[in-house]
Parts: sequence; structure tokens; C-alpha cells
Amino acid sequence: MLLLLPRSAAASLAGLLVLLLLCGCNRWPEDPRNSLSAAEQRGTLRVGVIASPPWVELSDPAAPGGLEAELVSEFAAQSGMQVEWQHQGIEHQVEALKNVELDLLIGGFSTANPWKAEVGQTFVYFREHGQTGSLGEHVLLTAPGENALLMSLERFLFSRQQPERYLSRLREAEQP
Amino acid sequence: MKVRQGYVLPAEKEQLLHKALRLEWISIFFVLTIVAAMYLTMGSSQAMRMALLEDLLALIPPIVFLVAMHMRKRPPDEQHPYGYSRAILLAFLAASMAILMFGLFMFLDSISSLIKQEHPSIGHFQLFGDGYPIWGGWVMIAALVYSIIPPLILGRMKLPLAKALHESTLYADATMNKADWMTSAAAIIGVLGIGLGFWWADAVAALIIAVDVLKDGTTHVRKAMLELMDQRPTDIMSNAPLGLEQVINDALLREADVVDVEARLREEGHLVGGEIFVVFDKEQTQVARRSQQLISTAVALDWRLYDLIVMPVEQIQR
Repeated sequence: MLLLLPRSAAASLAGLLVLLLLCGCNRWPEDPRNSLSAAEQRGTLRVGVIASPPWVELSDPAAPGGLEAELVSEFAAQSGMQVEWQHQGIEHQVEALKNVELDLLIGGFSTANPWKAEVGQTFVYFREHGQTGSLGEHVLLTAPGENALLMSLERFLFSRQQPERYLSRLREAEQP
Repeated sequence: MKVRQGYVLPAEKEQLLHKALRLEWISIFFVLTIVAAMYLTMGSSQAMRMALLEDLLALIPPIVFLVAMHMRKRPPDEQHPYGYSRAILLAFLAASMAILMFGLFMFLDSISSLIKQEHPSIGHFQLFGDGYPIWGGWVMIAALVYSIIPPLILGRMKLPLAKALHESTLYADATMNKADWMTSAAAIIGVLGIGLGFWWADAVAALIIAVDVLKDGTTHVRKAMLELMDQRPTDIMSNAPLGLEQVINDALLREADVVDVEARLREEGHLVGGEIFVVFDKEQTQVARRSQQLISTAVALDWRLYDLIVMPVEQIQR
């Protein structure tokens, strides 16, 4: 509609701005596909899991363990939600995340993950030293563009930036 | 071989040229600081990465202008008996191509993100992976506001200089500055749109600007090519004929021994050269001497006129 009337680019832009402001929102930033509100309404957070000890351990598929599974459970509990764990191959999980059939995907991912252009990721919540390249920069993956969900998860991660906690678990895991 | 005399710019134009050169250096400096600001705020955002690449393209017009100015200063020599003044037209072509590529790049990029339905993720501000408790979008907007100011001011300052100096390249650069700050303005609206929950806002805003930039780019490339093909002298902004031919005809017809006169001029960068065909009165026997006098009269009519040739003929075929 705006492109059909390109009387001047500045006018079109101003029109776009007005249009955006008229639509309004109740969260800032808002989710384009309402992941966070939908999850809160359902009372469940849909989380894909990929086995990657000690970050995600799937010895009991009904209740995944590991550092990231615990983090996510804690985040869900804090917002009064249950976690609905989803088990599938990694390609299916990433595809589901892109289509917002999943809210989060965990599996010991780092900033070196190959999907970062297509999905959302948090800031580096833990830096593991002694890893090659950026493999030690740990992040959680989120549904792409769902910024309210991303912000909410990151706000939680700010309160959990405790390297000692992760380090002690890492050392435990290294012992036979 | 007879090489041309070197052209000397009038003193007041020389002063303006110094100002233009200084503006271009300042432009380069600011583009570099803007690129640095973008790099630090972009986080993992693809949209900001594109904005950064586009800002790098904005370096091309000032750089080619400065290089061409350096070339142009050389006096005509045996290898180039007509001088180097057309270097600036080549620079103009290069700068116009940069604008066109910039527009094309933006256009394809925004179309492809709309088709692929890319939902840009912007979380907390990140610097080298570490999070800070502020929405990344606000920091991007701050960087984008900074990237609006220098090109907005510099572009406005370059326009009058480009007109006064008859410099198409400088004019193309001013257009590039306009494209530049409008892109940043569009990106701000895009980021605000993302905050409001419209994933497509970024791409649509960029698309609107891309169409505008493409239009400017094609106009400039066309103009550069036409100028390189010996176009008659035209105004660098409106592209309307300057009417120098008529000015010369009128002035020379006032001479008592001139029966008929017709000038043929072409642009050579900021200079205008060409031939003046003159029919002298039958009584006039000092044709060679008079021809030289007429050349000095004609060249004095406009600062751009340079190395004109007077060709005495029996009759002008029109």
C-alpha cells in the first residue's frame, strides 16, 4: 500500500511510522507471534532438548537434567509455567523453533552454532575457558524474532550469571 | 607535439575547491566513526550488519573524488595532450555506480528478507557476547541517530559547492549523503517497528529507501555516461543546457567584422571546450590575428570555457 504511492520516500516513511504507532502494543519489545503471552496462557513453555552432557542430560526423558535444563525449569517456574520437553533430531528441532512450534531449544549450544542467522539466541550466559574459537561461549536458542520472550529469558539469565556454579558442575562432569 | 596550456581555476573558485576537498576528508573521517559505532552495536542483528556494509559503500564517492582531483592537477603532457580534466567524469561514473549498487543491494536484501520472512531477534544489548541490561534496539537507535547527523550536514554543505564548482562528482557525493542518512532514518523506524512486534517493519522501511536510492543511482549513471560522450554543457543539478553556445554567439556577433557565428561545445569535467565557426566579412584580411582575438573574447565569457578554437569558414551549414 505504501509502496504504491511513492510520492516521496520521506512521506512513505512517515506513513509507516504512524501506521506502526497506531497498532500499539502492551509489551516492549513485543513478540510478532506472541510466544510469551501464548506460553503464559497455556501455562507451558515448549522446550526442545538435544543431549549434550553436562548441559542437557537425557537419562530420564520425562525429566531432562543438566545445567541448561535446570536453568530453563527455573525460568519457567519463576513465570508460573510448566515445561513441555520435546525430543527430536536436531534438524527437526531447529525447524520447529523457526516455525515457533518450540519456544526454546537447549543442547549446550555456543555462539559458533550454524543457525544463529535464522533463530534467536541469548547473550553469552557463561564463558567456558580452554575451548577452541567461540565454542566456549554458551547461549540458549530462542524462536526467531520473538523478542519479548528473548528479553524475559535474558532478564532471568542476568540473575543467574554465576560462573562458579557452572564451573563446579563442569569439574564434576569431568571426573569419571 | 602541441599540448594544451594548463587550466588555472579562478582564485575564488580555487578557494571553494579547497573547501570541498576539506569536506570530503571530513566525510571520510565521519564514515569511519559511524562504521565503528555500527560495528559495536550490531550484536547478532543481520539488519545492522547490512547497514554497516552500506555505510562502507559511502566511502567510495569521497575517495574517488579525492583521487580524481589529484589526477586532474597534472598539466597536459605529450601522452595526454588534451589534459586530465576528464578524470573527474570517470570519478563521477564510479561514484554513481556506487550509489546504484547501494540501492540494488538494499533492494534485493529487503525483498529477500520479506520473502524468507526473516524475523530479526533483538534482545539485550550485547558487546562481544556479554549482555547489558538495556534493550539492544535502543543502543542501535542511538548509533543510527549519530549516523544521520554528519551526512545530513555534510550533504547540505556540499550541494552549493558542487553547483558553484560545476562538479558532478561532488553532487553525486551529496546525493550519496542523502541516501545515507535516509537509510539510517528508515533503519530507526525499522527498529522501532521490531520493538512494536512487526518483524517486517525493518525490511519495508529499507525497501522504500532502496527505491529512492535506485532512482538517484540510475539518473546519475546515465548522466555520467552521457557526459563522457561529449555532452553539451549542462547544469549539474537540473541537467538543463547552460546556454553557453548562445552566450558566445551573441557576444561574437557584436564584433563589426563577424557576419555569422556558431559555437559547438562539450563538457570535459568541470571545463568546457569546443570550436567556434566564424564567417568573417569579405573585407577582413587579418583573419589569423582576428581569430586569436575572438578566442580571448570568448574564453573571458565564462570561467569554465577553456582552450576554444576559432575556425574561420566561408559559410556555416546548419
